[in-house]
Amino acid sequence: MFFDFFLIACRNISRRRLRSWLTMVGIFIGIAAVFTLVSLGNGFEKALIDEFEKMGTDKLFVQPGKGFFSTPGSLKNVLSDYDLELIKKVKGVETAAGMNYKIARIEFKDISKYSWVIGISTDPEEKKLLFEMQNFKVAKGRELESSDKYKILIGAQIAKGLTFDKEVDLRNTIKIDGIDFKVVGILESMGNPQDDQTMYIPLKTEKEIFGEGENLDYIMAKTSFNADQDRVAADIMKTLRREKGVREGDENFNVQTSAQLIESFNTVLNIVTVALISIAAISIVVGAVGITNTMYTAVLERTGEIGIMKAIGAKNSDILTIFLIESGILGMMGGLIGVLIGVGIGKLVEVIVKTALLIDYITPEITVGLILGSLAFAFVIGAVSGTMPARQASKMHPVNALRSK
Amino acid sequence: MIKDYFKVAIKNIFNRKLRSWLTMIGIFIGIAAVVALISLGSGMQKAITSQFGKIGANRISISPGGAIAGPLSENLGSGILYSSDVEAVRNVKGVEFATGPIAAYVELEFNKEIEYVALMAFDDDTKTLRYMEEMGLAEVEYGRQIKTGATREVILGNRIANDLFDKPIQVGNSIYVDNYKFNVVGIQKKSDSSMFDTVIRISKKTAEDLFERENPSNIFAKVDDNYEPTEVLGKLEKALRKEHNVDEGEEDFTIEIAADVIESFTRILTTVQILVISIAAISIVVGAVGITNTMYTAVLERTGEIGIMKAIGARNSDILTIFLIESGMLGLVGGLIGIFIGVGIGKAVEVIAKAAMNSNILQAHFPWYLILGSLLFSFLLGAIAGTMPAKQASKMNPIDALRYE
Repeated sequence: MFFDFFLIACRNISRRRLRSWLTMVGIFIGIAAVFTLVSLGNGFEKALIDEFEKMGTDKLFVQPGKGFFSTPGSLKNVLSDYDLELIKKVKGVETAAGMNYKIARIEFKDISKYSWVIGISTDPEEKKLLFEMQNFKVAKGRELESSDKYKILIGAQIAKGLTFDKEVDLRNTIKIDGIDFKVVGILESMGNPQDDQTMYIPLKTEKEIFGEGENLDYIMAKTSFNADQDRVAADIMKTLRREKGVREGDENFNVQTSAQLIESFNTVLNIVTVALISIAAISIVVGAVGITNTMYTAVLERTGEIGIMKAIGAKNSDILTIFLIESGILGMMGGLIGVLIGVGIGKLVEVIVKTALLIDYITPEITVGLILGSLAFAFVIGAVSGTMPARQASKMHPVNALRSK
Repeated sequence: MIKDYFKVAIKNIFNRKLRSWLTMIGIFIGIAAVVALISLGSGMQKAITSQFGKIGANRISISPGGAIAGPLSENLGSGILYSSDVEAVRNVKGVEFATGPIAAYVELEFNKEIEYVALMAFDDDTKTLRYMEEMGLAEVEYGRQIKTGATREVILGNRIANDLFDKPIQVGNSIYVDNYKFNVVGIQKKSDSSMFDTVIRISKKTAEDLFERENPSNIFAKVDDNYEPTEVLGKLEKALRKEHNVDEGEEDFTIEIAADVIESFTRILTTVQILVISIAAISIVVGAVGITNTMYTAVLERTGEIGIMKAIGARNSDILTIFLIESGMLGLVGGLIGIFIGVGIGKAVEVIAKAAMNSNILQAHFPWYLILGSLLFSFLLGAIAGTMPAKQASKMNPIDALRYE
């Protein structure tokens, strides 16, 4: 019985081929847009979480300022080497390391420009932590050693020639504020231009050439196995407050756990994706109105047919079901084509972003759940938009319906 | 003749009231979304240019280092501007005025509460004050400006006075800036952006004395109206190169014409706007497909009518025009309703944003060309969407058409 309903619905859809196509075009454009945005948004979120997981969830970040996302290095002389030593002694902290940021004039073979220079610790234990957290891997050459002074580690894109228009290799000399540094290592690509075009020098040298003294811009800590992140973070705050003699609420520094960092990134990301998806979803609403319109027309055209079906014993619910299935199929077919196009657009965006902007993070996350969900959603949209016309059809008086033709 | 066409078209739209409504809903949803987004976007751009418009094309800004990290990050760059640079700038021919303020992050204590804010220290002479007033930086709402030669006088940004501390700060109160006691002599008028509302101002002399700072964070210059700003910029570069003893291409400072900075900022804004509006415009495409669909159905239903019209002498072009006007009207009326709704949404967002964010940056702006343009656009859209069905109608063979019913 139900199967027959399907046959009737399919036959009716294919009978009005052009109109069905146009109706489905309306739906699939919208579904394709939303599908693309959702898959790209999810992909971006996944890439971020992966990045944090590579960094490890047992990490704490101490930085100057009160909130998130202040430009690193813009607040000097809040944290110091002494603070680092204190943090290392906090219970639950396994190890900690500091970093300094600076924008300096870099010169290579007569080409000069401004770029980020980061001072990283060369102490073996601290260095290990930094490499782990920043996901640094040396592709060529070696790491910075504690005996190094004017040695430099460069990002993958600098080596490839994206920074200076010329390739940079091991043993080349790069000038930072006029001082010669020898390239000892090239890092593997980290997938974004910001990191891949950064230069790393020993922290001691950084402090010396930029006159940074005891200052540290950023301290990262690794908590010991099973330690309670939030507790350790609170203890670090307490220790630093005591050392600087400030009361709670008056601090000029903050400690973030990995979980807090992921959460704050996600909140921002979610707001952006939800805003974009809602705007794209408007087109699905428009497509749904198109289905309603098509179905009203279909009911009108088939009034006589409905009369005959009722006359030979079809119940109201049968008529309702037939029309609902018909509009549902319109929605689902539209959804199917929309998903296919959405997958295509998502992949296209990935390729374009990767080649044009050199960013690896934009990869569409296409899951079975997302595909099935979109199809089910499209079917429901179709059925819901067909409800009013289907009810009109089901409530027709058989005699009037027969008489209308 | 054309009037008759309109009558026929309108009568037909009214005949199929429900279907016409549903078709127009498809159009007006999309138009409403796009109109609302464009109005908010152009309102935002207007707010920004009116804020920075005061700065004018003859303003030049000089910052140390590469200036790639934005203002108030002077700690980051490795370059330094010296007090002597300000003199050198003043001596360049074509420079009407130059000033070198000191910017810093400071600790602010009021009523035993501590917060961290940005400080700007300008010269306290009347010429500098006039310059700042021209830039919209120095309007005082309560109290007065800092007196020439006065020490320990501070003017607060509006939000620092009203929102930052538990208790609002008033003129006459004392506050501590980095532990030095200051007297609040003025509170600035609320500006359009939070940037100027969250700084405090003291005189440059006081900053030099108390904080042992003498190097300016930036230099702002105004070009004499009789000179070409780009020419003066070249001369300034030369003068500062000599002052800093560096060769061309090795500058440790950046000179920009203020208007260029604003332009690059609005360019980013425009890109974002285009992205969002294109996503919203998808729904207009879907609505247009809906018009095509409705018109195909109309052509089918009125095959007999078309046959009769042709039989009594209607030319192909007459039929084409009738159907094009009909679909154009669908678009136009849809567009009209869409504009009304779009204006409503834009205004609603403006009110909500004002209440929620306490900022005037989101203002819906409806220039006449947006309204007229949207109307014209929706009429054209309707006509284009109806082209294929109208062509089909116009090319019908009268005999077949008459026989159809």
